[in-house]
Amino acid sequence: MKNKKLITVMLIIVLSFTIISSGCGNKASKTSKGKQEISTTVDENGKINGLMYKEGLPIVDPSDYSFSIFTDGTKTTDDFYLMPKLEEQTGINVDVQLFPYEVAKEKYSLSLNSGDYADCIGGWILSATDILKFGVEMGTFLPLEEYFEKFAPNIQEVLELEGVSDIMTAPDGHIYSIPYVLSAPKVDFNPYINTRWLDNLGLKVPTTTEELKDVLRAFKEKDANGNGDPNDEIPFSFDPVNKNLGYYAGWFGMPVNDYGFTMVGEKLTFGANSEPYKNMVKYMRDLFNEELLDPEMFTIDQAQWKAKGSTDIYGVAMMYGSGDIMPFEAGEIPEWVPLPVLSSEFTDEPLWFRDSYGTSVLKNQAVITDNAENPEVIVRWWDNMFQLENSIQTNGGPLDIVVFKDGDNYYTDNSKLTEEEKDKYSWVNLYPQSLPRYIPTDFKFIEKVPMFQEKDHVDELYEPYLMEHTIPQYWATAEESAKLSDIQTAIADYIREKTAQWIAGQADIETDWDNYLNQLDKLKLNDYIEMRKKAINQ
Amino acid sequence: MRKKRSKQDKIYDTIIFIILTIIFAVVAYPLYFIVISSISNPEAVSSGRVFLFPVGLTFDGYMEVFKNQQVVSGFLNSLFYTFCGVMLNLALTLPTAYALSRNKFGGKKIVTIFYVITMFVSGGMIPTYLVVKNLHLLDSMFALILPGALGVYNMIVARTFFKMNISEELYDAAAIDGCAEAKFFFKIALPLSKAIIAIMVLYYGVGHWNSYFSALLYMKTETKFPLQLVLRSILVQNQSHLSQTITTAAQQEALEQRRQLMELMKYSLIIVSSLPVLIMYPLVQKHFVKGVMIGSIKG
Repeated sequence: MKNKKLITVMLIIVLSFTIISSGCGNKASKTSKGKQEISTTVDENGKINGLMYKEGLPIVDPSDYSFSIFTDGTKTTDDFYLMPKLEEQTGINVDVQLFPYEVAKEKYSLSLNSGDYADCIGGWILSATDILKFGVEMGTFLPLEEYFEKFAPNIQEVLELEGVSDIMTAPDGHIYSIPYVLSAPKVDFNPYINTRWLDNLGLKVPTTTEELKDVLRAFKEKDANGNGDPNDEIPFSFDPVNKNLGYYAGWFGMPVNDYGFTMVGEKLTFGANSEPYKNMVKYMRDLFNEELLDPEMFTIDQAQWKAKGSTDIYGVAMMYGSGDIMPFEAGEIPEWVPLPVLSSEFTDEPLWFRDSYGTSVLKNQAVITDNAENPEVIVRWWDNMFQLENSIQTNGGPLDIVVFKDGDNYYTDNSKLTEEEKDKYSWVNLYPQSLPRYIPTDFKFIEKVPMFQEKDHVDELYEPYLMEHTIPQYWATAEESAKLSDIQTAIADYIREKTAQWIAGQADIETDWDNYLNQLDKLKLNDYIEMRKKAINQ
Repeated sequence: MRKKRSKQDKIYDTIIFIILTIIFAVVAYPLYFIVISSISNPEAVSSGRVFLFPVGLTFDGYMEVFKNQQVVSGFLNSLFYTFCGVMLNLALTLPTAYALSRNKFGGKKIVTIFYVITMFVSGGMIPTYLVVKNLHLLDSMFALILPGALGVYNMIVARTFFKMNISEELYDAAAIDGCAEAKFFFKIALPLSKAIIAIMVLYYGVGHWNSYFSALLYMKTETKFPLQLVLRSILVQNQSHLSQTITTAAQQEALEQRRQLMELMKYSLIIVSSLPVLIMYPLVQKHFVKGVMIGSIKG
């Protein structure tokens, strides 16, 4: 009796399994696309592949074509202002699938692994390693350079700017992504000094490391901010996320970044084990000893640092611009000026770290996938995006509403907008800000109230002292980049930890230094330097 | 008349009282801190001036939260997912658990083994995603309700409960009176199992309310996002990327405003999102002690 029941149940289970498994039909696997000839033949209607006009607008007849872009970002309105405008121009409907960065990152890797990805993928979620893997190795991302040559004069023009196509070209000689070139400050972070404090105490902007010490002492001892309390000043403070202490080694001859690297002439060099670095640490240690540095510099978080800064207690601050700590009011003349590159007794040639040549080229900001039908249409859509008036609207706002043309110049004016319109035309709601566009680096909106005026000033002031070259970008395969980032993390963490200990006086740099060099060797410093050099030369 | 306590007793009591008070403070303070932070000036919170009392009393955070369309729709969605999800969970878990608790049920062992295997071996993220995709559930509300509609662990807890509390003799007695299996389950077994039902509601409910990962994977339309996902997108904003491409004052201002808004909403969001769970716990707690304990003894 019992056995019979058992057999019945077994049978039911087995049967149900066969039914379930037979229900799942095998999907035809994707045929990999071989090298396709890109057709440029125009038929009697003036279209290529019966779909796209070779030049001019619209690109296709309305509602003939649509494609999807998957990217990261956020917006506060239902739709981007610019997208319908672009559809009017091109006839192409774009389905923007926009998710916050963390969400996008998850969805992105999942979709690539499940074959369910969009026609076009863009934003900060892409990395150079992805392009090597999904472009060079697997062919999921399409090589685009031929499409650019045939259909995209604007993009082609950007690629021909100095150095751009070198950066964009993957090791196999193809270009897999839409170039994104934008102007960038040559100096990303540097110290600023509060001029009002200097005036209050009748001091001048220091030019040497010794003079800086004296100024900081004065800030500490006297009532520099003039609030009646001589003891609430913090002479020298750092943005906790971007302390970049290595840059200060430039005052002693060799600035390095957080990973310990720098360029000497055209050579990539590791400098966190050098004499200048050691001198920088000693100098900072002395300042810390005299309580001239922010005692919380290694422990505070960025929000707290900003909040503290807005109460006017920093005399010198390492930051991007004064907008970081002052409540940003457009049009205010900041009280901060960049601290010049200081000279010291250790070197005749003080230097500062160069972050860019004035432009930055983002080489993995948008790709087209093999799910896209007629990629040439998507390329032409991007090419149209690169038109000056389209691109500046992504940054400034809608033409004739916020951005106005004045002869050859453009100026922005949002003073006539209601609060609601301000939100509607707010920067994040114009266009997915993580995606490429092209604004010539010499283009400037004529702003009534320029931002970070001191920032432009920094580049001018620092130019003579900057390293000649920037650290070049590189391509690394998934395997290499895993190895690189393991060693890099270990080394960068170790440098940061030791530097903090030495400065805060928890360890003595003199007795510790040889030990530190040995430990760096143990962390495979030499392999790391070799790998970095190799990645550049690929 | 209470017995007078000796000196040692008093010392002992005092020490116990002090220790418990400290433990209570350690547990309760973070919660209290979030409450006072949510009605304080965000500047004061981030500069560490808020400690025992709110500083610069303001309800702007809450105003912003309730003004925010995404939060409101997320809240409603989460309620919907939680309610429907729990109903389905119960409809599947309780009958399964009851059936597997009866000794007369043939093949009980094998079926149980099948269930238990799934506890230890799961397809993983991508295969599960493919299943959901091929069932055409992507971006539909069912994607958050159907997968995982039966939690094996919960089912086993419920099964043990039924085993302990609903005896075979009870069924035999009912059968003599002419009661069929189904009727017995609905009319007798379920009313006797209020404790386990309450616990299942709590377990599943909190699970649904707090889950965001499956929504993150399966949902595309913002209007279908549950609250937890909306929270993530507001609180975990990666702004460092955005600031890389800033070139004008207007952009800087826009970004700064967003940052301040986030600071302002942070704590009130946390409160709004955890309130339902906080309310739910005390209601179910009295069943909790009884039910889970009973479920845990092997029958």
